[in-house]
Amino acid sequence: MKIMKKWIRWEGILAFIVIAILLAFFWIVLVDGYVRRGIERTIAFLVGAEVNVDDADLTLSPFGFVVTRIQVTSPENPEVNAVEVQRVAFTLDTARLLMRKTVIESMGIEGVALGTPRDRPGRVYRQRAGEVSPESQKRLLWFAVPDIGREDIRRALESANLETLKSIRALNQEIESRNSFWNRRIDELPDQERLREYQDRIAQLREARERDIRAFLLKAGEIRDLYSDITSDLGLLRSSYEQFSEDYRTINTRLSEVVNQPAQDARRIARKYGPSPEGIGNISGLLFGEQLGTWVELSLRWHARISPMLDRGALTEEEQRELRPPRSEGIDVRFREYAPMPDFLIRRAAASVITRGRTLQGTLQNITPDQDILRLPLTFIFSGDNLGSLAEIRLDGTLDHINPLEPRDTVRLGVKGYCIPPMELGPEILPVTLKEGILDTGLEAVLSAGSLSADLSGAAREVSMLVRRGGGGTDLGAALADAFSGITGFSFDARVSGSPEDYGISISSSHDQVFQGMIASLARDLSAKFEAQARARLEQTLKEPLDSLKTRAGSLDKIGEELQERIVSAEALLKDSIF
Amino acid sequence: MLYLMARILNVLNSEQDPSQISLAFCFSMIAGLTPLMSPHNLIVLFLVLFLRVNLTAFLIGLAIFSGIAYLLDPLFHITGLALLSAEPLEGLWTRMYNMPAFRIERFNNTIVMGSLVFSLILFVPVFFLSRAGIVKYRARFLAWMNKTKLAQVIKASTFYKVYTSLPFRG
Repeated sequence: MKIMKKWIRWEGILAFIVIAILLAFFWIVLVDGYVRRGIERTIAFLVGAEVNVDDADLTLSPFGFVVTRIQVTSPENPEVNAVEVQRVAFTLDTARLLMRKTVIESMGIEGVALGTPRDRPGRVYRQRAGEVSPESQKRLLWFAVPDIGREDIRRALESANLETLKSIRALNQEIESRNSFWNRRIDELPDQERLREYQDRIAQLREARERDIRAFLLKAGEIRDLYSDITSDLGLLRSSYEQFSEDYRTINTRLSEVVNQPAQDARRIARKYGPSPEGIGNISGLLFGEQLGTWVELSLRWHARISPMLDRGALTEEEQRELRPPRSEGIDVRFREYAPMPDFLIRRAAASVITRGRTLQGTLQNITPDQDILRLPLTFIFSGDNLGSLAEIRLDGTLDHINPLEPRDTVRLGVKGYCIPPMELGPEILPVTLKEGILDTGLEAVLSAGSLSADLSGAAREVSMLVRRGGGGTDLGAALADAFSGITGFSFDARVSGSPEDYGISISSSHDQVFQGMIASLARDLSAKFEAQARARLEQTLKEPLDSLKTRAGSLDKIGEELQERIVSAEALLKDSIF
Repeated sequence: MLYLMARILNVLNSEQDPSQISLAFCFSMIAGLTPLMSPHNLIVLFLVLFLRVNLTAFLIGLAIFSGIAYLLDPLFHITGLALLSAEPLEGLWTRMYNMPAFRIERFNNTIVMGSLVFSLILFVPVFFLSRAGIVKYRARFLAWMNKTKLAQVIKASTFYKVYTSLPFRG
C-alpha cells in the first residue's frame, strides 16, 4: 500500500483528462484554419494564381467539412475569379481515417460561377495559361506565310547549288584548254614567214620566165612542187580553221547558255525555296491554324498539370535509401494492405456550375492519385442546356491511369448552338475578323502513352466575316474581302496527331474549295516576287565571273583572225600567173 | 538560463526519490526524442501524470531531449529505414500496417520508428545510470560542495536567491 502510494498519483488521471480535452479543443479550433490554408495552397499550386477560402468548418456528426466561398483568381485577368464556388460540403469515412485514408464518399460542389469580379486583384504566381511559350510558338509556324526578305534570299542562294557557277567554272576550264591547244597548234601551222618564202620562190620563177622562156620551161617540175606545197599548206590551214570554228561555236553556244543561266537558277530557287500553294497551306490552316494550335497547347499544359495528381510516383527501396528527407519528417514506408484502398479518394463529386442564370450539371467519379490501387479510372461528365451563349453542351471523358506506365486519357466534347464571340483570325497577310456566327462542333481527343490524337469537326452558320485590310499588300485584298463578306456558313475538320512534344495539325474546311484559286494566285504573286529578287541578286553576284569568262572567250577571236589571214594569203599565192 | 539551472538544481537536491526523478528523465527521453505529436506520447503523458514521477524533471528532460533529437534525426532515419525494410520483419510490419492503432501511430515513418526504438532501448540503461548519478551526487558531491568557499560565494549570489525562492515541485 505504501509502495502504491509512493508510485501512484490518482489525481494525475484527472489532470490527463483535462489536458486531453484541452488538446482536442485546440485541435478542433485550429483544424478549420489548417484545412482552409491547405485548400488555398493546393488549388493555387494547380492554377498558378491566388486562391481565397472564406471559411472551412469541421462538422463532427457526420464527420466532415463545409467549405464556404472558394475564389480562384484568373491568371489571365487577376481582377476576376476564374472560378468561384459558393459551397463545398463533404463527409469523411471515419473508419478509413483511422487508417490514415482520406475517403470522401460524396462531395457536393454548389454554386460554381465563372468570371465573377474580385474584391481586390489576386496574385498570379505562374505563366498565364493563355500565353504560348517560345517553343510552342515554333510549332505554330506551319501556318505562317513565308516572309520574303533579303535574308531569306541570301539563305536560299547559299543553300542552292547554283548551276550558273558550276557552268562558269566548267566553261572557264574549257576555254583555257582550247586557248592553250590552239596557241600551240597555230605555231605548228604554216605561218606568214613560210608564205613569204613561197612568195619569194614565185617571184624568182616569174623573173626566170621573163628572162628566158626556154629555161623557165625546164623548171616545170619546180613549179609543180611549189604549187603542191602551197596547196598542201592551204589544206592544212583550212582543215584547222574548220576545227577551230567548231570549237569556237561550241564555246560561244555554252557562253550564251551561261549568260542566260541566272534566270533559270532564279526560277529553280523560287520553285524550291519560294512560296507555293502547298507551302502557304490551305485557307483553313491560315485562318484557324494558330488559334487551334494555341488551344492544343493550352489543353496540353492543363493535362500536364493534372497528370501528376493521377499518378503517385512510388519510390523503390534503393531510392528510399538514397533520399535525404527533410529534418524531422522522415519517409513513410508503405506495406501491403489486406484491403487496398487509396490514401486519398473522392468517390463522387457532384458540381453545379451557374452560367448566366442557368446551371451546368456535372459529376466526377473516382478522383484519386492511386488509380492502380482502386483499379478504376477517373470519369467525368458535364452537361447543360440553354446556357446563354450555348444551346447545349456535353463534356465527358475518362482519365485512365490504372496502369501508370500506359495511361490513356480520353475527352469528348459536343457543343450545339454556340454563339461565337468576335475573334481575329489569320496571319498578317490574311487578317480576317469573324464577327459572329453560331457553331455546332464535336471533339474527341485521346492522349495515350505519349501519343496524341484529336479529331474536331463542326459547322458554323449565320456567319459574318470581314477582311480587316488589303491582303498583305497583294492584289488579292479586294477579291478576298468580297469573298469573305459573302460567306454565311462553313464546315471544318481538324486532326491533331503525333506526340505532345511533337504533333502536327491538319485542317480542312469548306473555305478551301472557295479560296483554292485565290491561294494559288497568292502563291504565284509571292513566288514571282521571290524569283525577281533572287534573279537580281544572282545577276549581281555573277556579274564579275561572267565578265571574266567573256574576256577569256574573246582571246580565241585572235586565233581565228590569224588563221583566216594565213588562208587568204595562201589562196592569193595559188592565184599567181605562173601556175 | 539562470532560472533553468536553478530548477535543475532544485529538482536534483529535492527530497524526491532518485528513482522518481530518473524515471521522469526516461519518459522525457521518449517524448523528446520522438516526434512530439505522436500518439504514443499521449501514453507517456498519461504515465507521467499517473505515476508519481518528478514533473519538473520531465519538463526539463523534454526540453533537453527535443534539442538532441534534432541533431540525431539523420541517425533515426537510417535506423528506422533499416528496421522497416528488414526482410525478416516484413510480416510483422505488414500486420501492424493493417491495424488502425499502429497506422495512427505512424510506426511506418522512418523517424518515428528509429527514434522510438532508440529511446526504448536506452530507457532501462538511462534509468539506472541517472538514478546512480543522482545518488552519488547527493552523497558526495553536494556534501563536499557545501563546505567549499565557492559554495559560500554562490549562496551569497543572486542565483542562489532565485534558487531558494523556487517552490518545491515534485
